[in-house]
Amino acid sequence: MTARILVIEDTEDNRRILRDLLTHAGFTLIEAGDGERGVALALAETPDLILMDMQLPVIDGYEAARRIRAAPALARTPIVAVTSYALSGDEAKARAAGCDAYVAKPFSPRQLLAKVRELLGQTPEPDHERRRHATP
Amino acid sequence: MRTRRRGGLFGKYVGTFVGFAVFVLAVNGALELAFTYRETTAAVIKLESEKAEAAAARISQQIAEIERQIAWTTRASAGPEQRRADYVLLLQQVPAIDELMQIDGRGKALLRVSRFAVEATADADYARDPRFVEAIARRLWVGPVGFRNEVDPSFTIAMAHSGQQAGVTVAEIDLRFLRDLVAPFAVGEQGYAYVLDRRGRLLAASDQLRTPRGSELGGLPQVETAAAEMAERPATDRSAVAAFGRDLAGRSVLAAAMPIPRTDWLVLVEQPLAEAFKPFYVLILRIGGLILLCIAVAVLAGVLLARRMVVPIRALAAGAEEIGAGAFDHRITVKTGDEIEALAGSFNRMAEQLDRSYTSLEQTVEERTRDLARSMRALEERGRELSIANEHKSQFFANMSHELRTPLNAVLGYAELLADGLYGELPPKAVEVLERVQANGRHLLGLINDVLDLSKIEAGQLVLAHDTYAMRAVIEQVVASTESLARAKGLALTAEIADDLPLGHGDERRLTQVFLNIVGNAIKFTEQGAVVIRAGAVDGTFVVTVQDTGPGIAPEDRARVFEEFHQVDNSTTRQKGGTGLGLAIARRLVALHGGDIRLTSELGAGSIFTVVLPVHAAAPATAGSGQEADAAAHAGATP
Repeated sequence: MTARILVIEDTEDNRRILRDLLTHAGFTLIEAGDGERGVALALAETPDLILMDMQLPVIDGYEAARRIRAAPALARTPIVAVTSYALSGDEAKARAAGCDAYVAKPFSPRQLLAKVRELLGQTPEPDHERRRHATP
Repeated sequence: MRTRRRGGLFGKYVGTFVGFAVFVLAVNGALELAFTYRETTAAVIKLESEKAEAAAARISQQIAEIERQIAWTTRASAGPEQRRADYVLLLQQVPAIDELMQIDGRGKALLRVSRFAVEATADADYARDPRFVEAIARRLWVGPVGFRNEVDPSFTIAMAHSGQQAGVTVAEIDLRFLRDLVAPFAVGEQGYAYVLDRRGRLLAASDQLRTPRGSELGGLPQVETAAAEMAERPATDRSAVAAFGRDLAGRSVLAAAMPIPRTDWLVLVEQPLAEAFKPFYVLILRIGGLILLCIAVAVLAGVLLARRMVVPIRALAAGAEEIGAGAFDHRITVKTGDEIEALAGSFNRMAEQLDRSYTSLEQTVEERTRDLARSMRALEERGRELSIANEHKSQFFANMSHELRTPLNAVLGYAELLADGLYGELPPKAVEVLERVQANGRHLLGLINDVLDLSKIEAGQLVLAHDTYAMRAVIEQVVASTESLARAKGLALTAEIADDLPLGHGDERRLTQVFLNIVGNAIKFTEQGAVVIRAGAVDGTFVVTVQDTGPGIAPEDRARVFEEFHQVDNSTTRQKGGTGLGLAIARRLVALHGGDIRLTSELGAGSIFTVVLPVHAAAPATAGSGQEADAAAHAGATP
């Protein structure tokens, strides 16, 4: 059965890149354009993984992540934070809000896919690529 | 606040005045007293001496008269009847003679006429009696004084008769008449005159001396002194002798003594000092009173004068004190018309001057304080503005980062999906063009990152993380990130890391960025040979060298390689794909850690970049906003 991934992202182009990438890789995508809708979809659909931009309209990614984590059904769902701020403290902030991984924009689709597969327990990618992103 | 000091000017003035007056008066008084004493003494002595001499002369004259009368009876050839008649006549004429007796040439008493007994029988034998013997031998014999009834002095005069086998007339003389002789010579009211015989017995005295006749007065000091003095002087000197002494009552007296010629008696004229020196004592009192009066006047004058002098001076002192204490509006009022008033005027002018200076100083201080407060407010305002501007700037950086990266993310993302054939197989030419798109996109991302980094560093907003790190891990990661690049160019990339490196303290990501930049550059500019990284630590400092076998950098270019947008050959920028900001950023990041990057190079032989870095990075100079570019963002872009 294919894993379902919720993408919460306000930029249409980025959403399309993720849609093309992940659909091509065989995942089912659920999409939301703002934080509030993202939270609603997460609660309604209980996806297997959530990719969430942190800079979102209505409510931002951090708040959305906290609300999602508050739901018992979603307590263990991996959430990957995607941010283009790339500021120190963003990652810690994201993890504090309940995110499991952190990816800075601009991301390489190839590397993002590897991270998604890793979090879903699928074939891991070569490790040196991953290490750059995972350095504490 | 006026302080009155005892012994101040006032006391000194009065003291000086009184002291001077008393001194003058005392000297004057003492001299006058001394002279007056001497004069008084001399006057008393002179008076007493004159009286004594006069008394002595008078007594002597009287004795001589008596002798002359007696001599009248000693004429020769007078018969017995005649002689008796002479004796009776003599007794009548001379009251002092009590008794007359005739002794014949053989010493037999022939005749005796007495004032008290009518007729005494003669016949007594005086042949061996001194009255007879002495008179025959020297014609005149004066016997010693005796006292009848203890108190009535009398004496005997024996006188030889003229002619052959002549007899002697013996006269008994009652000396009570001496009192009348001596009485007029008493001096003053308490003074007295008296006569002593050879043995110091009192023969007669004026009434003021209430001492019984016959009393022994030879022991009185004035008598002894006079007797001694008379004994020493030549016999020809017949003047009076003065002497101080005491009377029987113990009073001090001044006496003049005079021997009475024809006798061995003394006449003394004596006066108690209390009376004799009365004028002198009066003078003492007068002078003493005068001195007291003068002291009083001097005190009064001193007080008045001192007050005239001291009161204005005190006013001056009090005023000066007030002015000195800061009351510059105080004015001293002294109207003496002299130097003190002039001095007070000077003080007042000084106070005015001070007042003006202070007022203007206060105004100046107030103005300056206002200015300062205004400046402070302006500064605070400016600080707030700057702070707000800084926040805006930070926000701008963040937004810029976001806004630039979002479309770039789309560009690079689509390009990668295209290259991966997600949208179908591409013709070879398109694949080549797509690679150029990706390369340029990454270059643009690198530029954006570097420009943002540099801006932040210059704005002072880049704050280092302060964590422990292992230099070995940093170098190894740099090697891992760049070895593929080196391998692609056929370069040997080696790292020689000392085993005993201490744990570093600083921003690991930023240091990784620094070494990635340097090693990346070395690989970029080296066409063949090797890039060697050596890491060691000396005295709390990491020393990391990156040596290449590239073309080297000319001396004139060495300083400039660290400048922004500088590459040795501008044409190489595009060729090598660098942004021209890497070394500038690296050097600043190292400087933020308290270290430095040095360059040694030789044209044609290669270059050595040496990073000198404190094991413990310098503490952050400013508290950061907490926003900092994430090193991870550069990982895929810079080299």
